[in-house]
Amino acid sequence: MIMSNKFIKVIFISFILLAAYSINTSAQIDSAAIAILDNMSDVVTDLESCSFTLKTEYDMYNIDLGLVKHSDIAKVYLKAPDKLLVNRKGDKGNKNFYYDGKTFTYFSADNNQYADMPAPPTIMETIDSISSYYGVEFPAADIFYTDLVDSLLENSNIISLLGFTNIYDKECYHIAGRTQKITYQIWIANDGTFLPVKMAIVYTSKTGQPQYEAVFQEWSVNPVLEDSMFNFAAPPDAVKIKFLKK
Amino acid sequence: MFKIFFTVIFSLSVLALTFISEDCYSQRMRGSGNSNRSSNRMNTNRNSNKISGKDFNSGSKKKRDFSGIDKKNQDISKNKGFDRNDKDVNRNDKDFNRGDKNFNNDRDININNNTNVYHGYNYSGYHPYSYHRYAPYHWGAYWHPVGFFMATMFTAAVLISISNQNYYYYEGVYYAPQGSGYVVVPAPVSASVVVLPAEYTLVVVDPTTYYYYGGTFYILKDGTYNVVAAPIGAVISDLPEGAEEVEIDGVKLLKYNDAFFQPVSQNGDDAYEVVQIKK
Repeated sequence: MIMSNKFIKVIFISFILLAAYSINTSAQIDSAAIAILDNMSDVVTDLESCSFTLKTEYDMYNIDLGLVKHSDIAKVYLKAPDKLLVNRKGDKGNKNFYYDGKTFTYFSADNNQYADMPAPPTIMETIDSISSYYGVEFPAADIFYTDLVDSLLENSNIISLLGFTNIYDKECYHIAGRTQKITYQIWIANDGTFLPVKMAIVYTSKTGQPQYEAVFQEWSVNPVLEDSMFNFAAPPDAVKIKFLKK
Repeated sequence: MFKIFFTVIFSLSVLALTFISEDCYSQRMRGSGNSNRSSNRMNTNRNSNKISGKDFNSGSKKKRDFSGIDKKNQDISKNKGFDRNDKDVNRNDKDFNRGDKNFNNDRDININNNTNVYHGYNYSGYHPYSYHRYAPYHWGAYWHPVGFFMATMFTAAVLISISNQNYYYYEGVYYAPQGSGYVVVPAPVSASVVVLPAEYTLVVVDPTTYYYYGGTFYILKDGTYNVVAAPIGAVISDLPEGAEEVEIDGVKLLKYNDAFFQPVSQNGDDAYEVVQIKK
């Protein structure tokens, strides 16, 4: 009888815990934030060409030192439907990515090495493909997906417009959200362009809660970009290497 | 007894672990709630002229159905004992005014409260009255509702002068100088522009074809789009922010820019018909 009472208590406490969990995971979605995110997504996914500079800071976990900050700066050029060029310089070296519609090429200027592979026929398929198979992340790829906001809505418990913040003297909408694994923040220009200015991600479920932060600068919307700039020509004595699948 | 206790605790632990399974360090927000971050919903239209692959025939900007968000929010309303749904959906400008100079504090959308009753008036419409909730439409990134304030003007804006009043036109929106900046105003009748945003729609009121964008009707003549008053009988699917709900002849109409719109249903979709009111 005593055991039965205790068993009931344990079950009761379990239900309380589950109820608390369900309350904690209920959604708080701010429709004003969603409207602004939709505007940003509409603007970015409607681009036919663009270029921007992306300054990135990110944490890598070191078993001795804990989180160590790294940074890089990338100049990104995109031209629909099938041209991409990224010049990336940072702690992990100088790397260039070329995509000309047929071939995706990685070039390490530090080592004068390059690797190439046949690529899908569109930018987004290529970004997804090299991320999935080779673990190569395109800088701030999120913003170019047409389902960005739908995905955030689907996965977030909270999305909120926090107000207005100045980022490098540009007034921005400040939006923050949380999923089960990350918290994220997006700053969107309040100048009629609705272009993204900054994004930050905190990986709350990872050791030390590493962060990723990227600032967009020098946006150029629908510039004229020559096809030739996306073609890779191997420098003299460059060594061809192979992509390693992740 | 301990056996049962540990069985329950173990079950709860397994349940908890299913919610915190690891994801790779992907530098991505998208799809961060589950392990599938590949773009199974990615638009891979290979004939698109957009970087994103978005279909160039997809038409106007996304028209989000906020009822889904309401549904998500309902959970928290129930659990926390407060209801923020209606406030959120209809907050638009009011809550954008958090210390921001670019929004007009004085202009809230007039929905479901302080309805003006027009006594002694009546009206007639071609379509039968079919009430539906007023859901203001936002035409996209460059479109702004009447009353929106901007400190600086777009460099590509076109200067229009009508009756000694200067206006600036940009992407279907008309701005008038105000103080140290510019405020969005209703399109001045007789203004003419040479280009409309691609999201305009055609509205036929036999025998005339009108062009409609952002709450403004135009007639195309000699290559220019001329602003006209809302034509009686025109049926449109979207009204912008700023319409006022009024009661005439016992039914609820919407008044926008001095024109009256009757909620109707067209092919099963919510729409508005421009009607004439008479005393």
